[in-house]
Amino acid sequence: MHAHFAQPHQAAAAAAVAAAAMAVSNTSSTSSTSEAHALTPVHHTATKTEWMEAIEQQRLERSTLNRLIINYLVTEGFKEAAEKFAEEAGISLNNIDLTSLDERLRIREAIETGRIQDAISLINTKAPELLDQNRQLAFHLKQKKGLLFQQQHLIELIRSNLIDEALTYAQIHLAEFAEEEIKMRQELEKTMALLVFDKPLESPYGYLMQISHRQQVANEINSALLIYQNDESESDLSMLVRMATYMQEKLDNKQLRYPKLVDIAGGKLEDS
Amino acid sequence: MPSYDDDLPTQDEEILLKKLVENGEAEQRIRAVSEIKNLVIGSKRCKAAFFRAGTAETLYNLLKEFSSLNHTELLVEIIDCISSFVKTNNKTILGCIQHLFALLTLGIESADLCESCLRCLRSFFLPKLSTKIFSKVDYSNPFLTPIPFVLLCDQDTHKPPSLITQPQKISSATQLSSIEQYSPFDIVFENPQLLDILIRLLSLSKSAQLSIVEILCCLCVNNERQQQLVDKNIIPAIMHILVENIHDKQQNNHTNRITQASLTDEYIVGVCLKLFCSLCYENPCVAQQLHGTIHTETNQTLCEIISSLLNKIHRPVVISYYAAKFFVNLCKTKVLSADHPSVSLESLTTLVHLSTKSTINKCVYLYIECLDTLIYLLNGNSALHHTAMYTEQLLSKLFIYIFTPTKILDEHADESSVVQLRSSSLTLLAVLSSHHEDIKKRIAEQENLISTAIDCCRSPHLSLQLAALCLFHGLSRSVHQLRTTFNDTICDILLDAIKSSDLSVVKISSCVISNIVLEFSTCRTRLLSGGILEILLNFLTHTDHDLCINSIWALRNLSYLSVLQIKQDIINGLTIDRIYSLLDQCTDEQFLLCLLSLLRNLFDEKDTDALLPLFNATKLLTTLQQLLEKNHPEGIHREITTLIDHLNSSNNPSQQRVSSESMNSTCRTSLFPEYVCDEMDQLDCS
Repeated sequence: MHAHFAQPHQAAAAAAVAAAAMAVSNTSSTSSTSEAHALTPVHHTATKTEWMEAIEQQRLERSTLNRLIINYLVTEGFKEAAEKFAEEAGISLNNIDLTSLDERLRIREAIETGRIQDAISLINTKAPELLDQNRQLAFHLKQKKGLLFQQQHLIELIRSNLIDEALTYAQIHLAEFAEEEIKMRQELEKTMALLVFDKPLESPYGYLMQISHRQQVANEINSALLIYQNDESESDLSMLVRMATYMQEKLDNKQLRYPKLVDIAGGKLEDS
Repeated sequence: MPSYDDDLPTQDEEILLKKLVENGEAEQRIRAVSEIKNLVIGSKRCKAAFFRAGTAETLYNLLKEFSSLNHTELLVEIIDCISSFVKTNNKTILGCIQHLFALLTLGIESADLCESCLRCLRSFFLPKLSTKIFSKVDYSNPFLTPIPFVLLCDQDTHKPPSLITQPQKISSATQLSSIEQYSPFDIVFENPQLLDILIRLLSLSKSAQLSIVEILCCLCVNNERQQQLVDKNIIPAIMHILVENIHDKQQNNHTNRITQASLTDEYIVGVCLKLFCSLCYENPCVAQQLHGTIHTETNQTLCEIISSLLNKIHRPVVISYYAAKFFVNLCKTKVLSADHPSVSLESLTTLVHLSTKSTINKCVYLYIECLDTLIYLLNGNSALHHTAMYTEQLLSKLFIYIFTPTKILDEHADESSVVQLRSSSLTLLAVLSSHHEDIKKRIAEQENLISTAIDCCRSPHLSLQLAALCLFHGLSRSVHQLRTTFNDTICDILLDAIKSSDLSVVKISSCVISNIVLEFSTCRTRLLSGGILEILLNFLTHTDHDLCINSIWALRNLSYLSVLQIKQDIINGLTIDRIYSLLDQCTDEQFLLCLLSLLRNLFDEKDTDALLPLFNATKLLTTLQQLLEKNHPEGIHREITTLIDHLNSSNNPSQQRVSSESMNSTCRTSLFPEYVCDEMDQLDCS
């Protein structure tokens, strides 16, 4: 993996980097307090104390952290937070397109509050070719729209014609996607399966009706919009977290013992 | 056919469509267009249904109606909607192209409107989204995914027929009324000023640059169009954009400012490279021009600039690909030799690396593109084969693509991608096996490869059949392989393939058969008992020229060191009268050369006495003498002279016959002749 940004000075990533360095340089350390696995030769790297000392020695520049935070807030579309943080930290946002950020925020809000038609309208104004180019996105938005349509009328399910309306919507607007790709067909089947449950929210596919699923779609759209306007679709911070996870997996695969970062958000290390 | 193909608008949609044509205030019009736009974008069903209801024409009329008024917002909505329609179907609204250019000519101040026009124009040139190959592609990254440009060099099989032929000259009087007869390309090139407009707008914005350069890529459909574009002086303009964006990208990488990383510069660099590839594809003149182009500000040549992109380690895949492809195209047009470092050390290694890179598994098309470009480069450049095979990095990956492609591809990868990946891999193996004996041996001995190729011959997918037959063709160019690899099963497959209803299958199988009928081949007997002689004789009068040549070629090889019976069968099949008629009247030099070689093989030492009386020796010698006096190339004259010498020797036994070793190698019946039909130097991998 090649990072195209500044060195990973964030604590979590620094820990993982130090782990890799120490694992390579000190594979025969005898100072570990962990017991070796009965069958697998285990190489101990360092104690937790040594580990923390090594981390403390890593140079951390505040400006780097600030850049990471601004990058995250801007990428995810948290405009107000980005402006406030920039003001507190004394950073200029002149090189950031805040209008574009605003637009993405409005789209995200529309999706998360269930105003799918508004979201579609905003997307087609900002990125008129996106939904033609990305069939999966178009499907997810229409799927979401269809689900919300059903959801609004769930309490009246006893009326058979409402099921007919949901079916008609799916036939008219979603069937074309199911014809094209297995993945979308499977998703459509799950969506339609909600109709047969008395309590769809408690069914195996109830997650489709949760708010969290709307957030997932909103994240998907946000990433696609960033790519469409030729920006990076992922914040540097999320890339760092994934990098830390990846490096730890590599160390685990090599049967190395090291103080593993078990809670990335909290920066909590534990001997593994 | 999709289920929605016959759909019409629903009742609600009909109401909405009616609002389009109602005379109302601008706000009402904008709302109506916007609602229709939101239905159409992202929905093929809506596009098909609304198109059937005439909505596209209605929008075009609205565009004309409101162009003269200052309704920027409405115009953007209309154009974006038309753009969506055009992505699947541009029939009946080709006139839009001229209208969009007219709008751009007005010098409108709104950048949004300009960019909307350019996006719409771009949509006219892209192959339609309904095209089977691209219908399942994820366009989440519009630049990394196969933007379906109709490029000469992409060897698209779905090119509109009008692109391949030379444009007809039309009078301006008929232009407007018959606009629908022409393709978007014809329309643009008919009016030279339209290209000037595009070039002028390059300075508008980066977004405009992307759209315009992509359009220019699409316009490179044949050598004439390529030259027309170059004559418009686009090379310096595009070179300037290329260097500017390389520089901007480097600046962004080094800056300490808080800025969102922008990939625009990379995309523009990539699409500029693609344009240079498209301009010089199969065009030696333009290729030479590009080779000599110098960037005045930095004094670097274009080749140096592009070479520097190949030398960077952390470079985007698409930039690497098109930079490599540029040098491939220069090599194929003979502007650069195959051993030029930019070709052998940079391009070839980059393409091998990209073909085997594991992290681009979501972009399967890129694997296929790289493989196809390698096929193109290595076909006819045998000097590069060992370099390509170095460390077996490429070879091992090709075997994975052929045997277990699902290891590389996403589990939901559609079948057409898998088929294409396997076909391209097999074809590349075919090219690699076409020249060097050690490589042939290595490939042929790969476990399960021959049996897999046999299975592919029986596949319902034409591309797999052709690729497998290509592989057999490559391997058949070896005495050792003819004695070891080719078995009865392959013979039977070839006997079936030569009777196929698909001409491309027949042709490639005839290439293989022309080699495996040779005397030392294990297949010869089985082919003869399978009736190959009659099939070849029938093909001599086929309308396809290549097939005719392959057939006479195969007969020639069949007659080489053959027993008398087979020679007599050949003569009986051809008939003496027909042979004389061909000697007298045939103007096809390739055919004539093969026929003369055939005769020389027939009249080898031991069988001349038996066969010459059938021809009447005097008449034959007279005919050959007359032929010698005609204005044929030297190769034919040489063949005639050798044949006359043979015949004279048989008439006068005391005269020493010219030994076969002293003959020019081109006269010899050989596995490796220099003729196009067998394409010994270049396999027919189209």
